[in-house]
Amino acid sequence: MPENRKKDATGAEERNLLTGKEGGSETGRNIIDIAWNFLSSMKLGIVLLLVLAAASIIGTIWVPRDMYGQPDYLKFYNHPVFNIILALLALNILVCSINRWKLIKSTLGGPSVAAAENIVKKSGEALKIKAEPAQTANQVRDLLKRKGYRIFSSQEGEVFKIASDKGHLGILGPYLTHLSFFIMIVAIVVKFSGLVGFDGQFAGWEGETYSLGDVHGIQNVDYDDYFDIRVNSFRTEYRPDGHEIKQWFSDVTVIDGDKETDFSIYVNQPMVYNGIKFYQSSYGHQYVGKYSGTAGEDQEFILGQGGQEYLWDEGTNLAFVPTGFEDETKKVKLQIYKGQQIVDEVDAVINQPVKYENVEVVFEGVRSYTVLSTKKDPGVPIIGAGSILLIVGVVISFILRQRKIWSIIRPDAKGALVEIGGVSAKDKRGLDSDLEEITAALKK
Amino acid sequence: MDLVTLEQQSFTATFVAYGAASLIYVIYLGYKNESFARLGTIATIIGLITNTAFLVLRWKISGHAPFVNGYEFLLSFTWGIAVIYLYAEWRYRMRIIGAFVMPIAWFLLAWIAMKMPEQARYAGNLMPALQSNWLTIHVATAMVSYGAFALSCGTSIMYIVKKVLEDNNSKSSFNKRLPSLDVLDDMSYKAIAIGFPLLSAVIITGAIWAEFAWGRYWSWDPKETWSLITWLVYAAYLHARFTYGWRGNKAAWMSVLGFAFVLFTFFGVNYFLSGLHAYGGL
Repeated sequence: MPENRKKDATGAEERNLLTGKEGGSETGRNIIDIAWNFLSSMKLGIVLLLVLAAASIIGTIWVPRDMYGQPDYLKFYNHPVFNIILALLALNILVCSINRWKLIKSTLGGPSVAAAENIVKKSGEALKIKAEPAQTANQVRDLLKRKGYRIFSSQEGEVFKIASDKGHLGILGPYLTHLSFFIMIVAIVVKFSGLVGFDGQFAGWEGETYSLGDVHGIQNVDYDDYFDIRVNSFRTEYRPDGHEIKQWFSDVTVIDGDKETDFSIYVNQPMVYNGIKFYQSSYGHQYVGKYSGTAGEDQEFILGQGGQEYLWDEGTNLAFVPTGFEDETKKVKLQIYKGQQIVDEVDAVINQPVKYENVEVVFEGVRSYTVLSTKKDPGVPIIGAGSILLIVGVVISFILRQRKIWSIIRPDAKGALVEIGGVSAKDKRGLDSDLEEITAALKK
Repeated sequence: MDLVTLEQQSFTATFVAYGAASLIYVIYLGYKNESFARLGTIATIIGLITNTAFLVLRWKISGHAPFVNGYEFLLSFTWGIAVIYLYAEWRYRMRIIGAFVMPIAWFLLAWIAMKMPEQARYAGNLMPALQSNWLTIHVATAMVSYGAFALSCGTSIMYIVKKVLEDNNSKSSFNKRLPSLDVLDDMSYKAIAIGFPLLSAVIITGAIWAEFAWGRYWSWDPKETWSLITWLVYAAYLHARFTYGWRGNKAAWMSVLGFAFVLFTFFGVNYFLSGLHAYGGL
């Protein structure tokens, strides 16, 4: 607790130094002072973190819906109020970072030897050693060095003052973490500015060739970067049970001038070309064939895209609903309904008739189209860099925990008097055990 | 014996072992006998072995990392708790912590035993979106991270109990046997120091995976949002601790709150909210 009070005090001192430089009239400075102090306060930071958490909770409970009744989370999280909270947090982090800059510089520079007197008086321990002060000072330095401490010392006559620290680079951890937050904000702003990249969708039939201009929503792509896409096939792979879907594949060829490159796009395996990414997103089929029902003569049908969803026979009240197509075995997955009731599930092989009651159905052909989510987002590598920085920063802050030890060695009646004490905000126990070991070694 | 039976038996063995460990540690609270308490450690180790066996068998049976449905998540979670707990016991040489941590693992398994229908436990196939190596990394980091948060929660509860006893000047032997407030506070913090970087990694690996699978690194799906909320709560804890000196009681309560958020992210989201993570349904 006293340590923290001390820290707050140095923080305030720094703020005064900083704002003092601003100059200006007395009242003007006060307003800047107040605003600066408000924005740099950790209280604001913690409150904002918790407000952000609370707002996020609300967004998962009260979920806006789009016109199809599907949850539209972005509607909530893109709301100006939510963005204002984020912006305030960003500002708070920025101001805090500026405020702490001096602290970082001084920490990296090492603890000040001049502070020794104060520290050992407050938290120090005194030992009497039967040895010359100079020799004892060397021994203290040695012990500290062996424990990985950096040493800074001064000598006035026979009085030695030693300041030392370890894990000072840990102070960079929080800095990097907060910097990473900024980097990510930049990437998100870049994305939502609409000035670079786009979010779009591409739909293409098997066997057809399309231009990049056919991508719905395409923007911010140089004409020189345009290319053509030929959809060779869309395939659904089923598991051996014939029901569960294993994977969806779109085999496409990118035609870029004279160069042709084949890609197989599937879920978790997007295609990237000229910085534009294509993701397997959806698909559809068109089924053509013939059926003969209670009416007698053969009739042709088109189901799926460009036709009805299912085939209905009035006389028997039977409905034939194709639900998918397995490319490898050329089987149409077919559900048969009587009224609202599902009565059978069969695989209808192409050109082989399926008969149910008096109705005979033959599928003669299936044509598929694929739907690919398409996007270009130059912000993604920035987010990636930010993520790495975040992890590095967090790990550094937890692994490198600064410990500072000060000692003063002066002559005593029988040899030397060593006063030694330290400070550690994050690792009091580590510091205590270091001090214990050092004093024990000195007593020997 | 076939693998499926063996797997079911390893679940039962884990359930019994963690239950026995919890019971022994809790009895140890009032019955100071070191060789008796050692049985708790042995039970925990046996539980960890059978828990590991369960995960390995499940991996063999399903042909993919056992991190796909709620049943598998839970056994991964208890694995994380047992590993982190045993590490802490070894590191601090204090078995009494077990009374506050192992019951968490046992309650999770008891919950499965009581609540989860048979068909929700089957080893299933991976749907297309889950067929990614990121799945393994994502859930493996979550296991350890959540285990560390469970440890922090357990030691924080110990802190709160100890604080009440100290404030009432309790001279009971129970109070004397609980580790000092300083040690408990330090343990709880150190567990968060392990859990928090890993939680950051869980969120980031999830985002990388989402970028591959859906083309969106962040879509404010409820599971994503709740993991972020949990992260924010622990971030607030760390800021309050280091710049405000929130240690002791306040920190302990915040750690318990943080773990409540972990549990909600884990169960509540699948149970009460719906979203892209719905395949984790329990």
